[in-house]
Amino acid sequence: MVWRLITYTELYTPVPPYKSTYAIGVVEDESGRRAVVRIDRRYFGRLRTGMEGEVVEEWTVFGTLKKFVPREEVRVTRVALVTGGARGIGSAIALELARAGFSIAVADLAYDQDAEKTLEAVKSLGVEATFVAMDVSSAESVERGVSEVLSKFGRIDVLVNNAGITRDAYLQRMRPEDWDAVVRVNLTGAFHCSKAVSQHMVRAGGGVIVNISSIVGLVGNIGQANYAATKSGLVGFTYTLAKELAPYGIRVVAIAPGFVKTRMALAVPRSILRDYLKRSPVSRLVEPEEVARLVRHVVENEAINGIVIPIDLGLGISSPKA
Amino acid sequence: MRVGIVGAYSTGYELRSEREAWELLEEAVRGALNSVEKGISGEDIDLVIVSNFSDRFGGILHTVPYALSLLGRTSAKGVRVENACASGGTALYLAWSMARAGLARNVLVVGFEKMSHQPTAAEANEVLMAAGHPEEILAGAPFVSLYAMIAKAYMDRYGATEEDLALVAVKNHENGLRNPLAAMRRKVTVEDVLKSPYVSWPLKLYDSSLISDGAAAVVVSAEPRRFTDAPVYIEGMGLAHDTPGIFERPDITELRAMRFAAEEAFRISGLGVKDVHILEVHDAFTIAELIAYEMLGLAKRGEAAKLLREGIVMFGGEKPVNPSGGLKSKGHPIGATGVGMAAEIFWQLRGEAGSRQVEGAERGLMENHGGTGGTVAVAVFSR
Repeated sequence: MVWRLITYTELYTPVPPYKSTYAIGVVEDESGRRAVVRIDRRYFGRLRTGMEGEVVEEWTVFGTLKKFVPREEVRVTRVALVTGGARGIGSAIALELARAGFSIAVADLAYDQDAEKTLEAVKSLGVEATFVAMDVSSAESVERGVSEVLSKFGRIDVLVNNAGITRDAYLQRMRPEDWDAVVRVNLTGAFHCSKAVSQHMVRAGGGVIVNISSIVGLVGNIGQANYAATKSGLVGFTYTLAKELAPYGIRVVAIAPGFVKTRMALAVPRSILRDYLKRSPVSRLVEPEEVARLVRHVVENEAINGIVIPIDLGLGISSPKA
Repeated sequence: MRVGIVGAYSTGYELRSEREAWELLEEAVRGALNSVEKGISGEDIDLVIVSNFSDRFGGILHTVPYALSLLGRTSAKGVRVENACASGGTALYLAWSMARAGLARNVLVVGFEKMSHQPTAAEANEVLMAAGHPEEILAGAPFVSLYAMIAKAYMDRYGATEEDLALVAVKNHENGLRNPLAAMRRKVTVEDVLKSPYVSWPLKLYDSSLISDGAAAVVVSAEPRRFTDAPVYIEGMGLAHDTPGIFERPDITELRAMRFAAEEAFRISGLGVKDVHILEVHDAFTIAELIAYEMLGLAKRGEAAKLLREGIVMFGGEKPVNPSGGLKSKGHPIGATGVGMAAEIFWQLRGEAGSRQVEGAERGLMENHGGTGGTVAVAVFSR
């Protein structure tokens, strides 16, 4: 039975009890029979009057729904924007998402050797990649960068808020500028990027935001009041966005790595790292690729939302806490 | 028998009233009685009709005894009516019919709704969604989406644009600036409307009427001259229905019950759209006002927007539509809306509309519809 779409709308303001965005249409079959149908939001922007498809029934808690499935296959290449993507965990995430078939936008402060290396490695996997210069602490810079990605790829399906810095010092020695700088990049940066990207995700029918928090944000760490506060801040930020954005098909998840073998971690004095490993049930550092594989899983598993997932070799259960 | 309105009152419509629903109801009842020039007492009222959509707005049901207690009279009869957004027009239709049939002498019609009782617009829309066809409810279509599908079909067929729709909002907001009762007295430009976020494409935030709080009441009498020397007569009314679901209608771009109700009102009154000087129509969404022009006979099919571009329906134009600001700017407290339209025309035809007064208005028309036009009440008035 062929059904033809005779009118439709894309609903961007979810209404209880369904709490979801979707398209709604009126369809007609060859005999002139009509039905009002729901259409999956992945067809946002692709519907048109006269489109043909079939009507299928779908069981839901609220009743059996009539759904219209257009004949035309939706084939899109998904796009991931990774902030702080030039090196470290960000670079590993960019590569892993490239392996998953994403087009990759690597955002970082400047196009340097690391950025070039990451970009080349991503491209060698056969996907499209671009670099965007972005200072996440600046709303204007973020908006410019996001527009650049959208004009190049047309969409952003995944945002990884990974950009982060440290300015470690004991509280009494921590200067206000050390505090502010870390907050501006690690926490405010995630806010700017999520705000800029989520509005496009709504119109595109959804997406995933992954915030790279830290185990330090959950258990604290001596000498890192600023860093720990921002990583903890990302936890509340994640929970809140997960609630706010779920109806729009946007999932928000935080990942809390332990010490990862990156330049940032290796800058920590060796004696402190050794002390840290003493407390860790597994006595090694986490590999960036291990974090990246978890990000990929979170992106692909649509049931994961509004949670902080530690990837810390069991540090979170150690005593005394790190 | 000429039945007329002899008193009218409306609370100011508000986006989020501090007052409870019953306080709004009380203000409207007392206000309407006090507005009757030669005086009217509770003893004179023998029928009370309360218009109210849902107790999920306002948290009160069984309001007839409460309204009667405000009149200081319990021997009158009463009933609450619900016909979605056309509850007020339906209440007026019943009052007019009963008075005309000699079954009631004087009827108090009062409508109210306190929509901000629901914490968010999304939850208010859930309550409203219950007025759709069961399959539309199951599909999860709030009214903005149903009207969006009507708009899309209309745009496909007639080439109308989002700017055409925006012109309705701009006009009604401009009119609302002159109405002290309006909930949102704010001028908006075509650009503002076009830049407002899509709620259900192609309809935007500024294509939608206001979720609001308010109450309105009119006193309908079979002996109008007993109470005032300047009654406003209800010359004819029509109440008509259509299928509840838009998908069941042969032509989705029509709200044909509007046409049926108007034809009935015109037939009874012996008047036509050419004879009225002012119209209050149900602009729950901008597209509904455009289609109303066509269903009421002001414009040919597909040519509604011309009336806006040529200024005909503007304040100061040949046929001003919604000089009150309409549902768009004045507000749309569901149960009050139709009653408020009748109150507005009462004031306009008596020359009491202040700075929004339409010069020389002697005859008026109101069109109040529920759902996506599953129920439509049309009344033709003269002074």
